[in-house]
Amino acid sequence: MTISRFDSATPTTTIVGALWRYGAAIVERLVSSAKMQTIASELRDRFDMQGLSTTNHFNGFQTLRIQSVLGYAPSAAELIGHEQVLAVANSILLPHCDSYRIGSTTGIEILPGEIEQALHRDDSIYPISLPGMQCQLSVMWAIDDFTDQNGATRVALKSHNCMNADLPDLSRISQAVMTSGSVLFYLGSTWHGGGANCSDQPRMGLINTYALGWLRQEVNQYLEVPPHIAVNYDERIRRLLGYTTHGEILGYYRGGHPVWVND
Amino acid sequence: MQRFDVNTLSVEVAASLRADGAVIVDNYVDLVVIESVLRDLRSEFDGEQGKSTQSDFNGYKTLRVNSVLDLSRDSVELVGHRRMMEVLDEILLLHCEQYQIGSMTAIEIYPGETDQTLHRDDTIYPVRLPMELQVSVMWPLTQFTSENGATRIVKGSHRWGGERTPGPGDQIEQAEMAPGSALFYLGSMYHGGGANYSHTARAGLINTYSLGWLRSEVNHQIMVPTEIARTYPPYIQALMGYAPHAGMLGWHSMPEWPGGDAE
Repeated sequence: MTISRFDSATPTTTIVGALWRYGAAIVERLVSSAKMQTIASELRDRFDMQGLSTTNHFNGFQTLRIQSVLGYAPSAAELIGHEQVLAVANSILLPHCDSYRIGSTTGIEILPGEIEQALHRDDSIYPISLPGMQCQLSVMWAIDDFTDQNGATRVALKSHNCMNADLPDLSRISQAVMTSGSVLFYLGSTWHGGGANCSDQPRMGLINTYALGWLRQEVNQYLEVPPHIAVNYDERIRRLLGYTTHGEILGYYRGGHPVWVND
Repeated sequence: MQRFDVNTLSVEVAASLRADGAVIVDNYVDLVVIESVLRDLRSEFDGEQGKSTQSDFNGYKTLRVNSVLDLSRDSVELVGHRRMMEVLDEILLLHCEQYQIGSMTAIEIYPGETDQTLHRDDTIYPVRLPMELQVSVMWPLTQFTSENGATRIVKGSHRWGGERTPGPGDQIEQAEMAPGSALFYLGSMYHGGGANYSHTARAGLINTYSLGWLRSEVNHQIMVPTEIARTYPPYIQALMGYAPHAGMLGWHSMPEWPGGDAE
């Protein structure tokens, strides 16, 4: 069993269908490799300065991580607000909320020598699990090519149907091998983990999560991408950051900062 | 509605709140605190903000002031009242690791105001889960009487399903109480402001507390200026959402805040 692969011409309904069925789907070459290199260059300094600040047994000790990329890498907005990505997110999340927000945006560079990350579900940050409702959707962009040698994300297919207490079926693990500019979608309840990097080159990716708009944000974007920075983004990105209410009331803000999007 | 005194054990107050959906505790705080808060809020009530949220739902003879922590230093004595929090702990910590302030709203009902539509505060969250999502605490800033608009509570309505709404046969109780007392009610309890048939205004401060993995009703990060939030003690900052839930959810990299990443 391998992850279903589509291209930029595939209708959203087809991608979403595979995502519901298997818990993951790949769309190949959604943006150009050149665009990914621009983003990589905007992330480089941060990786080098802060990449090791969150190393631990779970995140790995040979893996660089940087949070909240919209705070310093404006080109990443093109990925985070990508129309076809949001079309998938709409389909998964809008049945259960009026609007969704970015949970986190994390640059991850797995260096040679890193071992496999423990399999996990991203939605375990929320202490509820309701059949039929996904709390969040994860979107992994390959900045470098992802190969089975350099740590392409491992996904346990169909594991989104597991009961909480069950460990996923390890025979259904498939690696998200994909070229730079491609994207891997997986549901918040899908078991997955970073791969071991057995190559001699680092593997860089950007993992963005989108969560139901009435849930708390995984990373507080109001502090990480504060109004004076967020104001430079277009309305679509400002909404995703959370600079608008969910429905009429939830997340209310009184005040005149131009970052806020009023409906 | 059951009434208790400041000397009642908080577990007992909480048990009554859970069973009946609402409870009053008398003599919780000193009148000096109440007078100070009311003094601090006076100019806001009378200024632009007071009328700015008037609507069919909020009323047209009612003034409202949001997010009082940026306006009244002493409001901390109410918002973070220790004994009150002991009661909240018993209800909310069953379903989260830490809870947050949802909203803090001062409400002044003027003579001539009509009954507010009965409603549930927790409908800002578009799911009905078998748990209380929030608890509301109303502090009278002036005497609450049945004539001047004391909060109306629909008996037993916290046990109702999502479809049922209050009707003529349902029993309504008014929360008559003196400044220094507090009315607790569950997020699922139908309630509303009362009509004011008296000659004087009736002021109260209503604070809500919600499970820490939900989005907070008001955005405290940008509503309360950082330089003010910084002056509050860590437990108040935590209530404002500066401390990540279970150390993860709502993470940020600001070392100066509780839970901030010091690395």
